[in-house]
Amino acid sequence: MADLVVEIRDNLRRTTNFYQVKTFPLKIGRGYSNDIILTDPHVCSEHLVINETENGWSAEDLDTKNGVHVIDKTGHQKSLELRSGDEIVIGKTHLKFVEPDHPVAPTRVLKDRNSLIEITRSVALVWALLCVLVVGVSFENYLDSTKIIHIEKLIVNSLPVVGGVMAWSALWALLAYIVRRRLFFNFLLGVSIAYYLLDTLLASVLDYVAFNINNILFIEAVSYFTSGLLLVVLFYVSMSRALIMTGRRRLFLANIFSWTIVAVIGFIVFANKPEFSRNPAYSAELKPPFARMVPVTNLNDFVAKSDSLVVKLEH
Amino acid sequence: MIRKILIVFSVVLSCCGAAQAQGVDAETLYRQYQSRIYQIRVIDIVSNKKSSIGSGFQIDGAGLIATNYHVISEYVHAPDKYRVEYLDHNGNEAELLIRDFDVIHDLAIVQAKSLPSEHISLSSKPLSKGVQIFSLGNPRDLGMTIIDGTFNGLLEKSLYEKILFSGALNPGMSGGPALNNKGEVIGVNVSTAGNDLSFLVPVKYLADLLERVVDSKTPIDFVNRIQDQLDINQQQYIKDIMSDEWETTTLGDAIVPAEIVSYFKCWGKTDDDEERLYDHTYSACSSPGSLYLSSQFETGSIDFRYDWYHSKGLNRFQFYHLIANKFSSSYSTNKAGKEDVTNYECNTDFVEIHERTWKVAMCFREYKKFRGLYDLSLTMALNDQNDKALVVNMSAAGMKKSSAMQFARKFMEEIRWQI
Repeated sequence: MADLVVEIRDNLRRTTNFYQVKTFPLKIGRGYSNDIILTDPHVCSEHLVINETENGWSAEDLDTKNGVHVIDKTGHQKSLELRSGDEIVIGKTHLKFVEPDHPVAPTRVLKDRNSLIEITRSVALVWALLCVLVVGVSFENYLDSTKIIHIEKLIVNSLPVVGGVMAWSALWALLAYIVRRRLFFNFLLGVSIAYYLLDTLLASVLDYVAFNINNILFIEAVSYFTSGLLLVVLFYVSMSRALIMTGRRRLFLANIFSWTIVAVIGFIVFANKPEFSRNPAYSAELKPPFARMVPVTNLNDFVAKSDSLVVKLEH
Repeated sequence: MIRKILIVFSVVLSCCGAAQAQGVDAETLYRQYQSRIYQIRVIDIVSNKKSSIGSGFQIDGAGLIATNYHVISEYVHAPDKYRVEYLDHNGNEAELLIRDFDVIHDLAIVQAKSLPSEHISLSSKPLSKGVQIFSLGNPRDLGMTIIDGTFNGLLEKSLYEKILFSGALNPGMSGGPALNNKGEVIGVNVSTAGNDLSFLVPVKYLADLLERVVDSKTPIDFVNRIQDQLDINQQQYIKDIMSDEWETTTLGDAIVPAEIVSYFKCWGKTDDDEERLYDHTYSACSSPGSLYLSSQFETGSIDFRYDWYHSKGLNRFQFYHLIANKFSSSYSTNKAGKEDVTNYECNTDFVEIHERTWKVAMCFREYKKFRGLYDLSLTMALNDQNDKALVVNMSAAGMKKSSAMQFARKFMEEIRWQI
């Protein structure tokens, strides 16, 4: 078999080093007697031996505490066959094994970062996204206004939301820059704006549901659930650019973050709910008549139902 | 019953000959009666300090003292936390026993153990408007005072009969007597609206209560007594309300109940804000006053309010955003605390009344101590037009279930349409 190239990657799967190997067996570990010396504290002093085979290479775990894992497979592997392109994990270090003629990704054409068109295109996209947000928020405010309201005022009123969304996107972009050395600002801004508008739309749809279904608890539960789901999507998509991790891990973390936020908010609301309220609480949503989907009851039935409610109260 | 009252009075009058002087002035009255007037104090047992004060006066030779129910209500609601005492003009204090009370008319009779037999007799003669009367009491714990003022007849618009007294009653004088110029009690100080507008409980209710006290020797159960009185009272007033033809008024396209009983008062106003893209007119009616049960708990009141909206350029979404805000601000006008009532439970639905579609929230809360009595809160919004809506808030306190249902139903049915 031909020579071997070992690519060393950190736990964020960024390549940190290459080794070109010509002689076997190849010893890998933290000890100074190894051919490839790793600094990862989770790697044993003598961790792994690689040998040449007919079809590729074989890797043998030297009875280590942390073992050897193959990417996309669970459990320790004592001994395994490797082919060009395979990736294993020892400790927290990823090792990718390739032969010298292993294909590489096509060359990316270098963008002319200084070209005026390129800069304009990028800035124009940010402005376009912000305009979408301003229009969305202004429209929402317009539907809530009952006085003559001028467009300037609507735009000004939407600015706090714009500021909030920008700040949120900037935080993610900062994270992306730290982890991946790229901002992805336009993408993250687009995601945040889409989230805000979808959340507004969802709240509005729920208002229409609440108008028809007069069950406060049900509406509250649905509202928490749908907000949580939307938040999962926001985290999942944002993390896809800002962080480097597998899809499964990303989905898991997005769920943890979102449902924790929902649970904390729910708990705060629940804990602050007064035990006694002077005023009645009922489903007070009102929408134009066209939105009513449920039948109208007659006065006799309504009074009879109220009567049975009082009977329930007595018990 | 009349005979019994007369017997009581004859006993009362025979021992109080001294009080029969004709045309006395304030100075004479004060000198003559100051020893029969007491400060009534509710004392907090733990701190041993006054928690509330009022006035009272002796109404028979056996140590019965009349005062207001509201003066001693704290004790009635928590007899293990307080005690009731009197303080006489010489500064002597002694404990009092509650004999009976009338929460509807805000009266109470308490018993002192050993008092001289001198007392103030109750008048049985009607007064004419304009005569001078005198009121005694201990305002703000400053000492016993006498004030004079004018008898201005019975209030015409009142839930419960009250005398309008043009004189300056002040806190602390509650429960003190109002005397005619013969030195007879014609009423009991009860409340003030400021600026020489004060109210007295007519003496006939005190006479009724005294008769009951004299007849009965057994101690009363406070909660049962209040419950019985509230039950009887609500039956009476719901009967009055349901039997009357209700006065109506027009508001926008609607014809709505207004002064449903003669003593109800209604107010109205139209907003004239040019910037608003809608017209808004409201009309609100209420029964005058409510029944005082404790400083946190009042009942017996009925209030309702109508808000008529007509769009002048709002689209249907904006219009219903406005109406939803109003619809969500429900209405519970009587004071009540956590110890007094449960939370409201509501039935919310779309209801058709006179071929119009409403969204209605009908809510009830039950009284914790006085079982079978409820507060009703009804909120309705007309929901069948894109540019016109009526929002109705109604609150009725201290009703039995059947009365509340009957009243709410009639109230909803009485809202009619001009077109």
